Amino acid sequence: MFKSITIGQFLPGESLLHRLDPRAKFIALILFIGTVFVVQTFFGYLLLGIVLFGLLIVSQLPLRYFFRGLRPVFYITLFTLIVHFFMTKGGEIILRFGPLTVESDGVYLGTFMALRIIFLVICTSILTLTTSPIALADGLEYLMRPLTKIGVPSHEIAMMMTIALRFIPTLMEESEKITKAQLARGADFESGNIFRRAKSMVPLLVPLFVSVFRRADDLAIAMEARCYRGGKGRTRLRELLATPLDYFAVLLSALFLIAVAWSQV
Amino acid sequence: MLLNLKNISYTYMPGTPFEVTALKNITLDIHQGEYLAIIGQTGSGKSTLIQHLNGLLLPTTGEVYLDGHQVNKDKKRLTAMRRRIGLLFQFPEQQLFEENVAADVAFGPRNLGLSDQEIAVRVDRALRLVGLNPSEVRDRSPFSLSGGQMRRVAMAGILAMEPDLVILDEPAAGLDPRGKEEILNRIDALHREHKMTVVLVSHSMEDVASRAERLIVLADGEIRLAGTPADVFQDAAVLEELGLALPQMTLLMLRLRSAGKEVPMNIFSVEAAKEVILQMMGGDKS
Repeated sequence: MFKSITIGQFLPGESLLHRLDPRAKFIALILFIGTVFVVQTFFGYLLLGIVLFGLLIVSQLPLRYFFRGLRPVFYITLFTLIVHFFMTKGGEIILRFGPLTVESDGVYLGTFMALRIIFLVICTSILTLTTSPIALADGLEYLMRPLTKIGVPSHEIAMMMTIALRFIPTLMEESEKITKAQLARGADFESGNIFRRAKSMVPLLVPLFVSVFRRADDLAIAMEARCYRGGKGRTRLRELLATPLDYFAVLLSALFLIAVAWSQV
Repeated sequence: MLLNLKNISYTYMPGTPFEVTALKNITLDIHQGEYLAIIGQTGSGKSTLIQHLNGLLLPTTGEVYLDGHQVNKDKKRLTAMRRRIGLLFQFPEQQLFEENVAADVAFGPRNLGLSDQEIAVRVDRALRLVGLNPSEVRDRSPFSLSGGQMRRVAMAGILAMEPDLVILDEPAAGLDPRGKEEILNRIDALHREHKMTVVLVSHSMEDVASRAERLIVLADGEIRLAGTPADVFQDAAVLEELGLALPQMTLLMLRLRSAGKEVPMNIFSVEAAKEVILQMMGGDKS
C-alpha cells in the first residue's frame, strides 16, 4: 500500500544532475523556489516550465515514473483549485450554480496557486530523485554549518535526518509485513466505523512500536561501540568537493532567478 | 485437491524502475493431508509464493484455485480463504501485541467470530500443541517470554484458528539446534497425529529431508526440481549449482553409489545409514 507512493524516492543514475554536488543542488533548489514565488504572469510560468522540463530531460529520469509520482500532489492541487473557484470573489461572474458562483478572480488566483504548488513539487522532486538521501543530509549539514555559531546543532540534525531517512524503507517493509501477518490471522483493517477501524490498528501499532524501540536501542549500541560522540572533530568518508560545474550550476540558477524577477517587474 | 496454482507469475512494482519479477509461471498442486516443503535460496521467491497460497498476494498472471473455485479480489472470499489457510511468517514473534499470551492466541479465533467458551478451549489446546503449559503462560505478557517461547505462542495463534492448511516460513530460523529440532518435531506431530496439511518453507535440505513427503526446489522464481526427497536428491548436480547443500547422509549414500554399491536414496538419519551400511557389509561377507 505504501509502494505506490514514489514521490521523491531517489533513483540512482549517472546524469549530470546526479553528479552535481548536493550543496550546489540545494542552493539551486532554493533559488528555483524563489523563482516560483517571483513569477507573476502565466508567461513566466511557461518559461519556468520549459526550463524545468529541460532539467528533467538532462536528469534522464523516466518521465512516466516521474509524473506518476506526482499523482498524489495532483489531487491536493485539484482541491485548492476547486476551493479557489468557489471561495475567491471578485471580477466577473463566469458560472452560477444556485447560490454558488465562480468569478474570474477566483479562476485566475486558483490556477495560479495550483501552478505554484505543482512547480514547487517538481523542483523538489528533481532534487530528491537525483540525490541520495545520504548526500542530501551531508549537503544540508555543510550548509547549516554557519548556524552552529548561534547554537544550532547542525551535525546532530543531519545525523538525525540520515537515520530517519535510512529507516523509512525499513519501517515500511516492517509495517507491511506485520499487516500481512495480522491479515493472515483474520484481522480486518477496512470495515466498520472510524472507531472500530482505529481499534483495529492496535495489532499493527504495538508490534511496530516494539520493533522501532528495539531498533533504536540496537543502533545506539552499535554507534557507541564504534565510539560515536557527535560531530566535533569528525572526519568524513566522502568529502564533498565542489567543481567548477557546481559553481556554474548555482550561478545559472541565480541568473535565472534575476532574469525572471526582472521580466516580472 | 486443496489448492492449485496455474501458471502464476508475480511482478513487484510493475511499471517502475524497481520492477522485479519474483515468480515465473509456477504451476503447483497442494493435496489435502500432505507435507510439502518448498526449498530455495534467499530471493528465490519462496516468500512470494506462499503469500499466494492464502490470498495475501494475487498473481499478476495466472490463477489460484481453492477447492476448485478461483480466488480473486472478492474481499469476503479472501477473508474466508485466510481463515482456512494459516500462514506463519518468518520471525512470527514480531506479530505479538496483546497484553497476555491467552489474548494474543485468541486474536485469530476471535476474528473467526467464535464464542468465548470455544475460544478458551482452542487457546488451551493450541498452547499445548506447541508444547507450552497453558496455566503457566496464559496470563504472562508475551514480551516477557524467551524468543523460542514467543515463537511458539505465535504459532499457537495460527493453530488456534484450526486451519485446513498451515504454511510455515522458516519456522526454525534463528533458533539454537535444540529449539530447531523441537519446533520441527512439533510440526511433524501436527501432520502425523492431527492430519494437518503442512507447507514448510526452508533453505535447509537437512531440516526437511526426513520430514517432508514432497519437495519443490525454487530458484529465480521458477520450480527447478519437484518430487519426493529421495528423487530430488538424485539431482545432486542441480542442487549444487543452486547453492543448496545436500543432507550429509545423502552425500554419504551418493558416495557409496559412485563406489558401485547398491544403496537406497531415502536415508536421512544416522541410524538408518548405519543399518544400510551394516547390511551392505554383512552382504559382502556372505
